[in-house]
Amino acid sequence: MARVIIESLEKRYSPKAAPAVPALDLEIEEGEFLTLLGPSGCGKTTTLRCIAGLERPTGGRVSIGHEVVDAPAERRHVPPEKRDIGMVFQSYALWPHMSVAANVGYPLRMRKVSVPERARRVRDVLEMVGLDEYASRMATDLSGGQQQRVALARALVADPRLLLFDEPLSNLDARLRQDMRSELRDMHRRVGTTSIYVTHDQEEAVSLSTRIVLLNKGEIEQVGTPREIYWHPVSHFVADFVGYDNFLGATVVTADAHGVAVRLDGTDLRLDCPARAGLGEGDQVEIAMRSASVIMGEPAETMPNRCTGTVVDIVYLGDEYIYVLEMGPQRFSVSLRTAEVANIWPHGAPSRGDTVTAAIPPDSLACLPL
Amino acid sequence: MSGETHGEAIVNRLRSVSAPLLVFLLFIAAFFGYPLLMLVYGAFRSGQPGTSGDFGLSGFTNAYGDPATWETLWASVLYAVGVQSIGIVGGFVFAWLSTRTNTPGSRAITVTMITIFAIPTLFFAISWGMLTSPTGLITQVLGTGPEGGPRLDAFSWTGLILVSGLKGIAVMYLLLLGPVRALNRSMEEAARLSGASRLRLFVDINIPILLPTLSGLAILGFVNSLGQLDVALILGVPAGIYVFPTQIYDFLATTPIRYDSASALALLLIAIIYLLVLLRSKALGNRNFITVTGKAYRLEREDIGAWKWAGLALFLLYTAVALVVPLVQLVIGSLQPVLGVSGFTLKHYLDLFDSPNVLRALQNTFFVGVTGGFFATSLAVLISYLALRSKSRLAKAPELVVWAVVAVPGIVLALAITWAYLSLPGLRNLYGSIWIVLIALIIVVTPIAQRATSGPVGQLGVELEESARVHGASAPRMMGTIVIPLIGPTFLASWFITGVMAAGSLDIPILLSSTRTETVSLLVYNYYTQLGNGSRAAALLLVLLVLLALGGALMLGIGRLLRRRAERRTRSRGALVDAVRPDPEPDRTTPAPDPDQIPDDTRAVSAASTR
Repeated sequence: MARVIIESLEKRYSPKAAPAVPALDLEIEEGEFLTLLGPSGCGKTTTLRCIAGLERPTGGRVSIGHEVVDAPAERRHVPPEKRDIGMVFQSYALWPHMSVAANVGYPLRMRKVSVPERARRVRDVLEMVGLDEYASRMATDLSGGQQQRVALARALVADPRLLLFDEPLSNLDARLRQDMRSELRDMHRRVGTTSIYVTHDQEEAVSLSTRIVLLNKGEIEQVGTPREIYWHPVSHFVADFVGYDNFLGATVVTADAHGVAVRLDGTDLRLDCPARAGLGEGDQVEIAMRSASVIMGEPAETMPNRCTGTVVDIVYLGDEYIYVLEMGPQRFSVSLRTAEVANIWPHGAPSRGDTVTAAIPPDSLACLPL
Repeated sequence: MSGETHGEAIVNRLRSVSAPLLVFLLFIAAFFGYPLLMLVYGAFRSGQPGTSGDFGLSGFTNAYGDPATWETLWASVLYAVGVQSIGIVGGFVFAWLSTRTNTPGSRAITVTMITIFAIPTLFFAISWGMLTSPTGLITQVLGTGPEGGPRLDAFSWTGLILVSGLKGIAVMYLLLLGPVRALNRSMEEAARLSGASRLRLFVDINIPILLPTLSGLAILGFVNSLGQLDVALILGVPAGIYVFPTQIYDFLATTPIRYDSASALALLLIAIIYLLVLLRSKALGNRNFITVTGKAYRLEREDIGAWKWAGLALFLLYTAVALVVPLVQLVIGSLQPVLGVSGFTLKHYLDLFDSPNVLRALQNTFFVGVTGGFFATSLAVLISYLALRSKSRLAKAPELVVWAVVAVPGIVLALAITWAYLSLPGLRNLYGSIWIVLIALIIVVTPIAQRATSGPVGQLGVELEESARVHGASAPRMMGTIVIPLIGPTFLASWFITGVMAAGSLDIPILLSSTRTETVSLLVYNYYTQLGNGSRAAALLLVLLVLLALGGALMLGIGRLLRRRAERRTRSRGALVDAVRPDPEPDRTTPAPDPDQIPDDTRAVSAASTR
């Protein structure tokens, strides 16, 4: 186990092009499960590959434990094989000419572990991923999910000080992905190795990590716990990326340590939002909310941040309904579970053109400076 | 914008190239590029390579001033067009039959085609020469024509083109197999659903889609035929038909030897060839060759009803004409006291093994085949691998150099090598040795090796290598444990194919071999053209074929053995793991298997892997 320190990491693929990562600073604590989250091209994979030693940074410094593994200014570069890490690749990267046992035992073989000891440790780790029956199969004879488990076992077997994951679940189908997610969580709980995980899937990031780093164009947009990232995005980019689907223009009315009050542009509606530093009266802001957070009908009548709007569209999606509400020039969508709809409106749901009451819990709003 | 000058940019680019890569690039330039430059030099110089001479245009005026040269040009074009028409049409029909229809024996078609491809061209020329000689099998069956000559005569325009076309069909078949197989089935289905008949579909959809491939291959084949010496030398020259390669050979083999004229002619040939290649890429651009879609679609063979028997008959006819009948003729011929005279004797075979020439030639052939194939394949793999992995853009240059060589005919290359190596004092000593033959053969077959290996090498996923590095393997160990085992089978296959091509080549040894460094194919040619030695030629040719077949079987066997051993070893690691039973009592350590009880080969592996 080890902490990882990244100081003003820079990676340029060619001297003329813009850097893939301009200057990244990040500290990963011992035992942490940190996720680098972001859209493709945001520099998350480049950062991971620099930590692995598969890519040589062009500037800055990377340390694992107490060892500086990359410092281009001092011409220092520790090759990947000397970094004592385990890594799970997107394509599994199992060697097709080797059996499961040989694949998993490879890191031990490279570390000159004796044959009997190797067999024992391979057995242990295969048991952990539930594949102890498959040791003598060829790696490529297994299914996708099993292959990814073998890849995980291979990364774990040598008990490395750092585990790296490069979008390991993106090649699996939805159900398998869910299973593997909880398995990864269990695994981290059990072995506790410092882990860095790269993904573009916010759900994966939120459910796995102890901390999330949201990257955009090679720079950190926000760092925080899954809860912070999910409920307190600091920018439109983050909010959009973690699933906020309504963005409404508003003006700050009051702002203090207890909260921010805004008026929705073009309406009289006043909304209370969680506190946010750096905002003052009269500032133009953007209000972000999730369609699933909005409450409608009778329960909304007694809640704060209440408003009335006209239903302009209803979309039926099977297990949920999307209502599109209009308030003056503003429009936003609300999603309700199908079962809920019958509860809220026992005498019949509203139809297009009806006026309905909705309430937006203040905690579910994010007030984003423009 | 950076203020670096052009010169600085070049220096910077060179600086980004690592020293080993630079050495490799220089080697490639010297090995492949230098001989071709010397060919240009030679065309402007009178006198023989390595001797003093004057610069001038006499080579050009002599070669191009002769009206016979231009007749040769037309003859070459006629020959190449004829051969390629047969090759493309035949190759396409067989490729279609074997991959898209339910014609019986589709595997047999491919195996036969590979066999025909691997057999030296010499075989087809000599066996058909014998078949249609006045005493040949075919002449005996068909009888003689009105003028007393054989009804079917291989020593004629028709014979020349047909015999060359036999091998052309196999070559084109192998090149077309992939594209025809990759034709996107859903496009055809969409056309059928739109109301197109099978014929319309073929004309409107399949042909246009394949057109870039077909035209590319047609030009490639045309270019190859233009430079093809063996058949033209054996069947054409006796009939007074001269094409470019035989004309070049004639300049060099008959006194007065005219190196400058031969070089000038060779330059014209190369110019035509490159012009065609250029035209093709201009006309088609870098258009994506073929609609190769994912593996998701399945290959369905169309039921063509009774036509499948016609297909089978066509294939059997081809096999008979290209393979069986010639072989029968060779066997009969080799057992006759004198070719065409009835009787039975083993004398020719016994003579072969008495002759020191033959034994030396066998050794030479074995040497150039095995080492030539090995080096060509190694070079090709190295070149593709570098182009794939190196971050330097210069690393792609060797691929281009090798592609430039693919168009150079063997006889032209042999001439270029003569110039290149006789002109340099140190290298001059190589001339007349087997090494010069080997070098030329490596250059000729490297493009083939490149073609055979670039696909599998290109599919080598970078993550397979990276995961080895990350999990503790240094770069050399990663090569040894991952890369080499993965490309091993491809390497062996390419080694064999290029080795066979090097061993069966005639156009290189015919110019570059001295009496001590003759190869078997050269000896066969010499016997065949000497009066009364036809039976001996047949016997030696058969010996060569048998040896090549044995080599092939050996290579296949070794490949299979290695694969099986590797799989057994790696599975035995799993057995070792299975042998570790989970321990019910937590305070006792699991008894590790006694090292003496570990299966032998596992221990060998672990010993090897810890070395």
